[in-house]
Amino acid sequence: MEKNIWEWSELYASNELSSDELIYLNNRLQNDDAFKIAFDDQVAFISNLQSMHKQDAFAAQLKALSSKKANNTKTLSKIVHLSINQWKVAAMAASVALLTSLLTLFLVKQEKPSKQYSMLRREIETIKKSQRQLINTLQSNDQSDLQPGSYTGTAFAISKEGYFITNYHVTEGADSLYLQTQSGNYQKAIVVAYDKVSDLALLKVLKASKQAVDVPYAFAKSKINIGSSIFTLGFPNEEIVYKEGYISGKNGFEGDTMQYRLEMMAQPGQSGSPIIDSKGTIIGIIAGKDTELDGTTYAVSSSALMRLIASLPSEVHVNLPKINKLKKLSREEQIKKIQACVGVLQVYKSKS
Amino acid sequence: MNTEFEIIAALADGKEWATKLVYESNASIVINALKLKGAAQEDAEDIYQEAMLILFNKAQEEAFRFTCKIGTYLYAISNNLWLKRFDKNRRSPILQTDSEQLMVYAESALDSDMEFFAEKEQQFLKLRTAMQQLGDPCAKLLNNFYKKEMTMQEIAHAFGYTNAENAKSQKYKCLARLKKIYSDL
Repeated sequence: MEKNIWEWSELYASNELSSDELIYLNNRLQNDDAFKIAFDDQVAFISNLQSMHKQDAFAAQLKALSSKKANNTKTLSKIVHLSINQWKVAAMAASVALLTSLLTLFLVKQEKPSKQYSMLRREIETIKKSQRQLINTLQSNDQSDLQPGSYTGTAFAISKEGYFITNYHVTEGADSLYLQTQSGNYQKAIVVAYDKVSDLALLKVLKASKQAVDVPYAFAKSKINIGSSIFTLGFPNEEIVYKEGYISGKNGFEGDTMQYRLEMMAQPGQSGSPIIDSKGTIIGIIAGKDTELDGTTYAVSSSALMRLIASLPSEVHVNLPKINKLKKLSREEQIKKIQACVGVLQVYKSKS
Repeated sequence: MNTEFEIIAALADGKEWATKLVYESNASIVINALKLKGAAQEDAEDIYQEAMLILFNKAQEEAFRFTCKIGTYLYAISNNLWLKRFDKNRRSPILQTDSEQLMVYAESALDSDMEFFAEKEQQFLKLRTAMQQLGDPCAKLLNNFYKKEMTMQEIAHAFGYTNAENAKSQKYKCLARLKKIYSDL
């Protein structure tokens, strides 16, 4: 009976012990507490591993049975909420809503192939493509199921309870999200709610750190004027980067009223970065850039964020800060305070 | 002709014929019912797939297999998923015609099945992340054993261990490492 404890655990979890061995094992479990604790723990772990593979196999059977075709054109436009205990559904719900406007327009074009429309389609394709480009794609390396940090985006704190905001397209189809803030904390985050149309996703970090985040800024309730100068802090690479520019258009891409058009350079990885005005008020969130016009960036306005927060079910409490503590500070001091609230979001995605 | 019990037991065991039988005999009823409530085809199909996964999970409990009415359960779970997830803002009363079907499974029981499933998924997600961080050759070895169900003999051969015993002790080392990573996550 020279089995190590892992072997005992595994044979037990797989129901492969002979009756003699079971008697011996029972005896040992009764007389050796340390052994019992480790054994129970390991059996639970192995069972979990086994049932994961069993469920994966079942899910593969289901997938094969599905009649779903990729060219469906419907779009889910309402805000979808995910309660905390259903958070895992985030990934699934995201794939529910996997239908792009690109595809829709593709079909529209077939029906009505006017020149104007094909122009529009091209532009839409451009922005779709460029939005992807704002996600910093890292190289995947091996044949395992998950790509390590498939890509990164930026997210920033919006309340002291550990809620963060980023773009929906950053979290779309993600299996898991990890947020790293300047303090070096590496925290798992979940999607609590998202709005696909305005391209926003509300995140919550699972283990809020002991000292609550001090969110120094407030949020603009309505749009600010063209010409206002703005700046942003985001993660085009591993270090936080400051950029400035101005509002060049009251509406975003294709006249999108939920967006601003900005004159400011943006790079992959900056999706989800805050856009801040000179007084330190958050006025928007970077969403995409124009690939044709160098330096033109689009940002979701803060009112879309307000709308998302306002529509949350009552059990989710997000208290946006009401006081702007940055009003009278110099730009350097503003940045110092803001950067503690901005983090890099690592998105893990399984290969499909 | 198989009884419901035999079918659900086979489904729980991962038998493909049972999955296919259950899937196909209930798909149109459930999907059409969801569409009547305003779900789009795409959403209805996704909900149905998820309901199947929840059924699979629940069917791992032997006691459930004895009492399960497969069609009714799938219908009730799908309905509950739809109400909870996609119909949140509407708050319209549940149609009267449902009550008979739904009464068999209390909403609270359905909720707890859904929660249990979500918890499971969360653990699996964590496991996958741990597996990712584990890296090769350990991850590959464990996958070959648990996913591809290769024997230790085959694994020893594939990984160049001298015999199955050596491969086995390597596997346990890998398991121990995986568990450590998992608990640190």
